[in-house]
Amino acid sequence: MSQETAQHIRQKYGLEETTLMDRVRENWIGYLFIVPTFVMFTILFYYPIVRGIFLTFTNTRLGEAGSFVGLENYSWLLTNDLFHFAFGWTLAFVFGTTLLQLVIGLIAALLLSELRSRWRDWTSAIIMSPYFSAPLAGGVIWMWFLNSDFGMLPMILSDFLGVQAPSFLADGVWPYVSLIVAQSWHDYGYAGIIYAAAIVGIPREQYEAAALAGAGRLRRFRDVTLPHLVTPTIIILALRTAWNVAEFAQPFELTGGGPGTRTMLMSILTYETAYVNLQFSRAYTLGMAMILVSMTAAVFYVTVIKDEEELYV
Amino acid sequence: MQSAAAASTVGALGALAGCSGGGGENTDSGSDSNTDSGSDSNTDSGSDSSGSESITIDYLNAQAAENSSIKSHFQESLSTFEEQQGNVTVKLQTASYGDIRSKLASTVSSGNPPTMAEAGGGGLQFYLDGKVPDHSPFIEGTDRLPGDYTAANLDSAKYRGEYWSAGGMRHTNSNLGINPKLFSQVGVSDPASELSTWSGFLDAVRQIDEQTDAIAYEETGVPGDLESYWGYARTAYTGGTDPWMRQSDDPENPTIVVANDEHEDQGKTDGMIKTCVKMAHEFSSSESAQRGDEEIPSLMLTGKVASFNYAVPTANRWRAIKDDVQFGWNDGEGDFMLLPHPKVDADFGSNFGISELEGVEGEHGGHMWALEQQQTLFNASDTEQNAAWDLNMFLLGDDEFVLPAWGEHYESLPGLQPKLQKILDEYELAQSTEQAYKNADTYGEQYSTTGAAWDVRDTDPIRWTDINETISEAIAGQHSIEETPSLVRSRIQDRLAQ
Repeated sequence: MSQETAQHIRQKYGLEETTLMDRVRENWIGYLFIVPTFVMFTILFYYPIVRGIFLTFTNTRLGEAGSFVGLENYSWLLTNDLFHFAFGWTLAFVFGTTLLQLVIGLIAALLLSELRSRWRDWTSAIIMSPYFSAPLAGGVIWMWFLNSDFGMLPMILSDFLGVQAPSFLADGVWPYVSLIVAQSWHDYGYAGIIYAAAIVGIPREQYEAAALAGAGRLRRFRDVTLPHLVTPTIIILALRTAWNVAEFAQPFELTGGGPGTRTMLMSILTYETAYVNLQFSRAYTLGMAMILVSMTAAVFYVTVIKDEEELYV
Repeated sequence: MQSAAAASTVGALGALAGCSGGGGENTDSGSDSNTDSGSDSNTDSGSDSSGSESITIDYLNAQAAENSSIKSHFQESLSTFEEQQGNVTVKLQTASYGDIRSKLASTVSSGNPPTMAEAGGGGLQFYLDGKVPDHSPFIEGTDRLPGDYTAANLDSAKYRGEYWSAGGMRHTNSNLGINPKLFSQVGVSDPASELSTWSGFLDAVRQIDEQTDAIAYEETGVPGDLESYWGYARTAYTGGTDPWMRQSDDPENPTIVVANDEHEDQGKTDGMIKTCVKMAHEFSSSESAQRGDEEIPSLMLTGKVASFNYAVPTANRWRAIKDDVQFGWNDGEGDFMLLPHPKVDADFGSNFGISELEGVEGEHGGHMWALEQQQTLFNASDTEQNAAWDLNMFLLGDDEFVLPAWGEHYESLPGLQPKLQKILDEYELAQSTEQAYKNADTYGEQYSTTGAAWDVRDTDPIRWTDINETISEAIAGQHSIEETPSLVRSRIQDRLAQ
């Protein structure tokens, strides 16, 4: 096929290459509509990000403009033992909560799919309700549940079972477990909602065909349900990882990073650096590390989902 | 900018000195029981704010947020001040001590600072950044200041010979607090004598630990509430010596005593750091490293906690939990009693297994909260600054404000020394308040506020983060008792090197 012919075909079907200005001229109304959004994004999103990156190279404190200090904040970050700890604990926290949220969310969605439809709406509203509660309120609820002095769980354990309860927010490994469980409780509803929608969308015929072929309940779940849940799982993983990295309110309410600094998450450390020590540039540098964790996870998930799509192709 | 503002202030004061010279007979520093209002705040204020121009003072304050009673008293007194001045309006904004630093920093950052604020230690940084004027001309323009300031106020308001602050309206001090019922249960009958030394106190605490279910001694181990340690850290010394840092010829490089192998006092300081962590480990609940001081009164009044070293003069904190709380020993039947921090005795080191303290003796009243309450004027016009200074003098010196504020609504120690006796004369105080006053009197000028004398820019982060957070981590078991002093030292060194 000659070059002229290809050009001719492109013109015939409206596929000829156009410049940016051509596209603006053709679709100016569309561009006009997105201008306000773009301006707002620039002011509220892009500019703060660029400004934040710039601040990491200064010694800006809240209340005073700083001067350029090069990579000093990054050097502080990399040599700070509290950051090392917070980084590791944040990874464990994110891994634990994301995994639990996925599993509990999936179980909730599967149970809901078994219910008759007239019960399903109400039950799903009740099961998903923690997700719609304010995280701070969630923290207060768990505090009343776990606190050693007045908490319900230690009282049940000691008064009814005669077992001396550990201090769930202070002793040994318990504060870590408590924070992960409490956070999973709060957010599993998100995974539940996505999974429930995905399960409803699976064609009934596939289950019927599998049943006719002699597949049992477990086999139907493995061969029919699970393949339909891969994409939703990747979406949930990507979004929940990013949110769990930034999770602040509920852990702050429950332990505030303590005892000592034993449950210091990067989000709490960022808050303390910014608003207790007033070192904004260092807080932004910590924020960069949090973005790095979220971005790495997102790139990983996107790569996985791409491979997954290729599998289907 | 800073020097220009200071120069113009001096000029304004000079002009004022000329026009108010006739008022000299009203400026007796000793006399403040003025006729109608009981106020002497205007007489030595050095102010020129009494013109007809209307002036608004934006005033940010945390003390008025402590409880509703003191807040109403502030509001009523500020109305009185406005009436006295005629042309001045005070816009009072309150914030808790937890929020005031960030609130202040954001308003200063946005170029809209208050005229006057309870800036605390952060005010020093604003001063060094030129956002707060030199307060010397204002202070020197009065004839009662700086002489009437308490020792803690003097120490706090000065930085390398300059006044960056106008002083604090009131202080509280740290003391030993005990539950008399629990101590009498284990045979204590004369607490003032039996608990006067660390060894005596340790004996009683050990018995409570063994014989009762109560938490024998609760350390408030969150970094923001470890000021109790700041108090008793000094009890290994006599004469009020600073346990952490001493001035050297180079103000930028003070001598750090903590974990300093070459310093003769190292053992005393390191020993008390270890005492703090060890007391928490042996006697406190596992919650201690995340338990704030706010929780202690209710735990003590319900018999769950026997003692702590964070007792302050404010009896209303206890009344808020139990209306008819019995203060004092009351034959071992009281609810709460306040005593001085125990003295370190020569045997304490060997009794408690802290070799650094063997043979060491010392005593001190405790920590005085003064830096946190420092009020500063911010850069503003001369008229606004002078009006704000008048307000500061009113809040420091007006009897109708000062006496009820610190004798009744929020029991604490007034920022001007002569007011202390007046409150004692005027009010029948709870045992805890009276004893705290007595301790402040006994230890007099030794009383200091931690960090005020260091004269380094980063006093606040050194106190709260490098010292307290490191000790808090040790209490939480994140590093060993043995390595804690050297960690504190290296963190202070890093901070000073920044």
